[in-house]
Amino acid sequence: MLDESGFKEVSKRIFDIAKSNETEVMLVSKDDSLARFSNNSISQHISSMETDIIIRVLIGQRQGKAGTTQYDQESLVKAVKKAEMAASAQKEDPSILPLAPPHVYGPIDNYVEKTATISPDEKVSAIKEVIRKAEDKGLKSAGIFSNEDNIVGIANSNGLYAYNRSTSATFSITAMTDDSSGWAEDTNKDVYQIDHLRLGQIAAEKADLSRGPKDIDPGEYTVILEHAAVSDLLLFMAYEGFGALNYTEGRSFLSGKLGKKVFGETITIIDDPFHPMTIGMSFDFEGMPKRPIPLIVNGMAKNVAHDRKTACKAGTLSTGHALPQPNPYGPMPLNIVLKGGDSSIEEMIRSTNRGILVTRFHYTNIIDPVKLTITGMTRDGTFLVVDGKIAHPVKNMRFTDSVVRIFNKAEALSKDQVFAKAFFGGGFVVPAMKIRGFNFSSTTRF
Amino acid sequence: MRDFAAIALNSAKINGATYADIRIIIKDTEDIEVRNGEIATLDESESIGFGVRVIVNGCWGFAASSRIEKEEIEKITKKACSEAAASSMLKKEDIRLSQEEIHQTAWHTPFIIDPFSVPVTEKLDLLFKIDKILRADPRIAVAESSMNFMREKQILATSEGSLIEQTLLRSGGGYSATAVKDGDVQKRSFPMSFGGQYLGMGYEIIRSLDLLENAEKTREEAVALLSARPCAPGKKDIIIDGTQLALQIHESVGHPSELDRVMGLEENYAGRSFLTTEKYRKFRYGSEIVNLVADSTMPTGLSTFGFDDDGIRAQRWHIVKDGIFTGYHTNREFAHVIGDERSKGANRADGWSSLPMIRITNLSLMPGDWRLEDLIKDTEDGLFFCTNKSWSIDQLRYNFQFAAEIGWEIKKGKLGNMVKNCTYQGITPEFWSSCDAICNIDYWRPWGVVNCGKGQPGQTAEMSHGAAPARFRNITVGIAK
Repeated sequence: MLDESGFKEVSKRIFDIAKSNETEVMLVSKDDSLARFSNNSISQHISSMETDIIIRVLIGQRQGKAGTTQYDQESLVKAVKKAEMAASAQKEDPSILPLAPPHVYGPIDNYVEKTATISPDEKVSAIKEVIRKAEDKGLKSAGIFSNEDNIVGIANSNGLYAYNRSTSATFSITAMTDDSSGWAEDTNKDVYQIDHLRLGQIAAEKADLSRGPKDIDPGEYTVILEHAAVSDLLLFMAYEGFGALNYTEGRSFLSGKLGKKVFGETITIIDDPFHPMTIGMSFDFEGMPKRPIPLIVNGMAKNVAHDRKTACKAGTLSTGHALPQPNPYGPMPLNIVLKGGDSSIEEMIRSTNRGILVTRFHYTNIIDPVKLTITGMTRDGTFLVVDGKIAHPVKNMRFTDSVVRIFNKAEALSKDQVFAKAFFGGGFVVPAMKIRGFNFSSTTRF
Repeated sequence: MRDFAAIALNSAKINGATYADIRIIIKDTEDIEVRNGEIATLDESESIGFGVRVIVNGCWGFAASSRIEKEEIEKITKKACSEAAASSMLKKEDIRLSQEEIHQTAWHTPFIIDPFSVPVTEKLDLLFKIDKILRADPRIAVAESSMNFMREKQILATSEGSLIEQTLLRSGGGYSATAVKDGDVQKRSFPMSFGGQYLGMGYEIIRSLDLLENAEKTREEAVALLSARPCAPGKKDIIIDGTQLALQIHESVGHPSELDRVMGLEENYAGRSFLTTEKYRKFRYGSEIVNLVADSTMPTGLSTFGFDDDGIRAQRWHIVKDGIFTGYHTNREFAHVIGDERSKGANRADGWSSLPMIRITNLSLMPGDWRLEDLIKDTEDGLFFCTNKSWSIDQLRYNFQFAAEIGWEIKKGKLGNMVKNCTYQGITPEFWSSCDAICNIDYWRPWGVVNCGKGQPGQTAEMSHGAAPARFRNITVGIAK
């Protein structure tokens, strides 16, 4: 990896090569490792060390960009020249902003050395413990145990300098019988905070409880969505709904609704990179400082996420949500926190006459970006709840529904929140949710 | 580079490996996008690195680095060996590789015009012209046009003696217009969605796509969709165009036939497959006219290569023949599971930092004998769906739901009103069994998929799916409430 002193030295060399042009250097460096298991044995064990240096050069109102994985002098000269040539090939664009000035960033510490250095033997031993327990119950297991050491640095010729090093570990397990499965997962910056045995036990209990799933008709049901399922819904709201570019182009569910009530009182959504359960950075990919931004407060739309470009057009300030510049996506909140309520999954079940308990969704995808209509399948533990108790497992179902409508039908949120990854990426701090009138549109064979 | 390869193979042997290979890769990419009159992406990047794969004590280990230096190669190789050794604490059986031919050769993607030699100014000029046409109507809120080019030079050296040098080239581009009115968002793309059409070719693909000529029609269809009727729920006969069918093939035939998925390796993330091994050569996948062929020798395919990342020569074989399931995508590790002595050569990684795994190759629905005009005339009450908008499928690949950008009613053999918010849903074998007509070779094209995700950590692969429009009877369309 290219560490902080290395990044400073490489940045200085790039600024010297680029001379009089405004120049930005972005570093993305990682050292990650992952052990993957299936059928109760390790199927893959991999590690990778990669350093990417991305150089953006501004020549007047023109900009060019080039990337390289090498940081010897010859490679850096070549990359700078490529960026300069790309900039030179363009016509002037008045919308291009000068690079950001230096900023001071809030304190954030998401680096745990033990996570970066955990050995292959330790990971395999942990997996072995979990698999042995599953095997004792006649279950097959599949999953991953990963650890990452990630560095992001931004420096520019205006003197801006930002550097973040963080760690992350994930243990994820699916336990299976011949006709059922159960799943559990946890992600933490500190690998030793992950209780792999508890995760194995949850997955095993779910798989056991899911044996012999019964047919069920699609239609509207009250649902109890466990945390991972809620995270999948929030992914599309975050990516399609909360960015200023989508908002101003009329492509967000919030377009024209800032300051208006869009959800019930119980829904409060904040983007908070400093939340202890998320692994955020204190700056964005332009080097602008991040801070907690309320997006929805008690159902009222309060803010959308801005980068410098959207902020400039809207006559406001960046909220620190830039992706690497330039890009076609606009700003995006990456550290969403959905505020919890006062319930629990157990209480949600107790208070349900007839409904469906969903462990997680599979392959959710968007159909309509403004209504936020999405579709996806249930998986790894779907149960019919009758008279306040889990009655029996059911075969998986497809849902097709609007996330806006779903959030407006929230009856209860759990007090506890967890950081849960979504199927197509990202991860959010979420409670479990109970929803009235959730639309399942079809069923499948298992 | 060959010297570096020798360092890894020697180091692997010293550290107890019974098999080792190293892939050294130099990957160049150029990404250009114009969005609403501004350059949204103009990026030329080079990624250089190597990955070492070993078998120690009967288990795999893999490690990779972007620093190609003697000491680093030795360190990384040792790391791969220790990972494999650690994994052997929890093994059920040793990895068994199929016995294969040794190759010392080279291969490259045929092309006419090197896309990296074409001036950026020429590329930008075309994209800005398209952008201007797309934005000529104020109801178009977003116009996006792009081109992407990738060249991957790779050396694969194995401890068995194979030494293969390949240069793979991919080029493509396309655009979309998004119309917005009162909370309704409708998009039309050309030649297909999610970035356009990509093939294993040079810049000649860009000059052959008729990009400028189709921009006005694309814009007008996006605007017209705002006032079109939504697709009503119900049962219909549907004709699906090649661009939509490409993703149908990908999700409901390609992924289920990956043998590693069948064996449970993807269970925790992307899921397994209903195509369990007892169905091999017995299961009726579709109607008798359904023939699906995997082919990594297909000219211009995105998954066309000389050799896969196991060093296995490219091949062509049936996945479905006359409606019967007859083949899997396999690699050296899993070929023996179905009694095959040799791999089908479908093991690929998305770069030097990734472990090769079984990926869909170019997989195509073979053409039938219908003309599209005749097929429409032959349809009493149906819908014609074009261009993929969204996809979702369950983890065994049974229940799918796809959305298309645009549709047209078919009434008494004639195309009628435009339809928006088009979705259709089904169960994979039932759906393919309902296929009763496929258009002929004149309508057949290979369509590129450049965003195929699989694995943990995630990898993105590319492949082409040849298809001509086809008809499926009595399919559930629209969203049931």
